[in-house]
Amino acid sequence: MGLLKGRASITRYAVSGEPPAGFWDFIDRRVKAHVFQDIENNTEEISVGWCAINDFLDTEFAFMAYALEPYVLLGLRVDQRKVPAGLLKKYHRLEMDKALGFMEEGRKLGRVRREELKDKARLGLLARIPPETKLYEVIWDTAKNELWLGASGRKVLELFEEHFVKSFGLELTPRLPFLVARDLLAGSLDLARLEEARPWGPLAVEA
Amino acid sequence: MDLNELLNQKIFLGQEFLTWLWHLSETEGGAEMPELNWVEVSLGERMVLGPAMGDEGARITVSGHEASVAEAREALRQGKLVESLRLGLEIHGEEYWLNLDAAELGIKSLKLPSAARMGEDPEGLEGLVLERVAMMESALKALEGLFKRFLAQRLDSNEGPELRKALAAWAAEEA
Repeated sequence: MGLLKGRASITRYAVSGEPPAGFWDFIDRRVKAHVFQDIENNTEEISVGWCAINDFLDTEFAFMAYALEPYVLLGLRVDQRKVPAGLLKKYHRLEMDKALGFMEEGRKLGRVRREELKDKARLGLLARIPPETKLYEVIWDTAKNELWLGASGRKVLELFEEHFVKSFGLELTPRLPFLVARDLLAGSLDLARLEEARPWGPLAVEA
Repeated sequence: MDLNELLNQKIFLGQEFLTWLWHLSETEGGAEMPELNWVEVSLGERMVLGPAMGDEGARITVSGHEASVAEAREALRQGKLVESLRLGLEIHGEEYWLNLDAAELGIKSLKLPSAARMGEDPEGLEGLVLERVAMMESALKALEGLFKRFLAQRLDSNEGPELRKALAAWAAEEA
């Protein structure tokens, strides 16, 4: 469930901070400097980077394909390898058995050695497990300084926020109820009342 | 006051707003909005109620229609407020459905009236983006309009206590 297909999930942010003059050149440089880097042929566990909003394989952005003024359209591609716990346990055991085979009978592996063998088993598995690819759609309305992310999971939000700030050096603030309320009431007398408001509490008490 | 502290102190606004939306759907059935005219508000078939901010207690999930409204109303009488619900909005005669949660006013599973399909050519993509963005903006505009209306009543020194009394009386009614 993203923004462009099927049922949409939207996490909204306000974007703040001053981009330098020549906004679209700035975007072009920063997007290209932080495009997705493939981890298909190594053992990295995770890679996060920008791609086209409608194609996770497109990291070229020919003709500034991300620009649809006033919108910046991006895909956040996240590739991640996950080693299943059961599989790690099995290969850790195999590594330990192999190591014990070279030792005198009755001797045991120390804690540090066991951890080393676990890392070895894990790396061996990471090299064999292909990463899973996910694409999250991003629509940034530069006229309103508002950005929509087509995701709502906490982990994805954290990855996105970190990558956005690293890429553009601008600040993201989630549009939480109080902040939305503050914007909606800007300039009105209710703004002071909003700060003072206390919860209603259970409605049943008054019933 | 630190912003995070302030945000934590004000999370009750979301719960109260969602509970008000339910009340609105059963009483006035909608609201007049600038630019959007009359927006019809209806309740979907799933709702989660939880303890009011500062209270302790279990969450209750209700689904299905007739039975669920009675069950949800009972949860209200037990002091719970709405934490998430499926909401229907009819804007300019077109139906939108979405899941709304109180903590973040996050929008999930937003069903739009209709939309172009993802095209291969860039022009197709542009058209799709503009069409979907316009529809999503309509839904967001309606939601923000409703939130603003709720806040105006909730924060008014006269209307606020009256609104709470009206919701309490409504909660006390049998569904």
